Amino acid sequence: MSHHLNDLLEELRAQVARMSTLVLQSVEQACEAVFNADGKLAQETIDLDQRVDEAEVKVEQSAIDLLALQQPAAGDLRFVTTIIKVNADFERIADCAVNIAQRMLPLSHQVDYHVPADLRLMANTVLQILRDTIKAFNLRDEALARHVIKSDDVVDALYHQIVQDMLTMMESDGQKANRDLGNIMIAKNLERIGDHCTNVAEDVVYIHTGRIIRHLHAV
Amino acid sequence: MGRVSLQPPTVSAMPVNLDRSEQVPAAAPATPTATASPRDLINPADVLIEGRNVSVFYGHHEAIIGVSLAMARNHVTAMIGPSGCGKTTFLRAINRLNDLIPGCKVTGELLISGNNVYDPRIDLVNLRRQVGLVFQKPNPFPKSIYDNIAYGPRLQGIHRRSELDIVVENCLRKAALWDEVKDRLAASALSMSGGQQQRLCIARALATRPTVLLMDEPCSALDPIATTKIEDLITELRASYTIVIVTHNMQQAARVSDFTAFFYMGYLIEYNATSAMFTNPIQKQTEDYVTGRFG
Repeated sequence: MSHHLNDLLEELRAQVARMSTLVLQSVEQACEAVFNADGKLAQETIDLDQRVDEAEVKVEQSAIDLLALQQPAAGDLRFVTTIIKVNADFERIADCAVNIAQRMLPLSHQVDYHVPADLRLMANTVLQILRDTIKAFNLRDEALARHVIKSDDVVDALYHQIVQDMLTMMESDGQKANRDLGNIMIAKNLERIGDHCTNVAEDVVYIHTGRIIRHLHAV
Repeated sequence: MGRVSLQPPTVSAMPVNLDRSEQVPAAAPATPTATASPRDLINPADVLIEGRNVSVFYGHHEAIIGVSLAMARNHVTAMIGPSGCGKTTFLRAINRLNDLIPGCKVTGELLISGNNVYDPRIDLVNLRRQVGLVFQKPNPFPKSIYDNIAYGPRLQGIHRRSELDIVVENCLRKAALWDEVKDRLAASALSMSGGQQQRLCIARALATRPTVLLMDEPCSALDPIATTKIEDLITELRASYTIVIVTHNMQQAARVSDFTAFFYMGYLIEYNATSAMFTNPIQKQTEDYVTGRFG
């Protein structure tokens, strides 16, 4: 085969791996900021996003160059076209981390802020799903990707539970509405991260099998 | 290496609409086995060319080994594979050009419109009128542009100038050449550029009103602009002709064909809708070949 093409594909894979590490760091920091009401860490998460954005542009440029100059086919074509989509999902995950951090900044100034137990559980669940997603992508692990897709139901259930709890608390104590609304928005962004992980996992299945399983109920 | 065994011709798959948009639905959960053979995609009533267990021997050497495949009317079928895989041999077997090679023997059946072209009763002149061939290198006759096109019709007994004029203009128009040469029809065909000469050869092949057009690497001697013109021409001619093209350029096969057959060492390894062949081939050998990992 063309060694040059192989090298370019490996380089692209490495670029996405490096980017996904940054994205994971961003979400971990955002969650840590929530757990500890840490405004400084929240700000660091926001600042980190520029590096993620730069990495995203590099990956996209490399993928487009590879398509235009090497004209990959079959499995290579599926890999490169999927990279473009996965790249966008990873970048959006980092954006969600920034959203969480931005919501956390004012909450961190509240001396009595404590993260609700379900929100902590949801954040830890999403973090594990993100780690599994990155692992499934890097190792092209179809079974793990399918596990990620199924795990999203847990995240959705937690999100609905948190929204319900916060609405109940707002009704009973309107003085803390800002805090409760902030928690809902944090949960919403965690839920979006779960959705993006599902997208990436579906793309891993596509790379592996050539089957588009998006929108199919049976996985 | 496994031989591909297509469904026996008598066992017809469920007829499927050949509307291209329905061949491979974008969101269909197309498992590899679901597109194992274009027979699943080609309505048996639309089959024009069909090989049944075709083998071609050059002396003791078996250049094509038990190939069965069906090609759809008014579609483009590409044959790809490394040098010596048998794709050109199969192409030339369709209009019996291999008969000219001493020691060449063909077994099995090769049908066009249900008639075996290797039936001893077949009229070879009529077969080659129906099945035109365009070669790798442009090979215009050392005659005028007009006489190149009129050559075949004259052999068929058309001599009236007015009739020939119509044939020549129609064929040159179909070959997207009329506007470039209409003012110099009497000029030598050898004065044309390589790309124009190849389109002239296509026009010449069309002049005998064939149903099938065979093309043996028709762009390999042409520059990218001339290649684009030939590829556009193939796409336009598909509406009126059944086209079979041999090409070493896989991107060309991907661009112009509806179905692709991959040959290797005389075997038909995989035959499928072109979109499936280049995005999700079934056989590992096909994947290795189209991704450049062969050998």
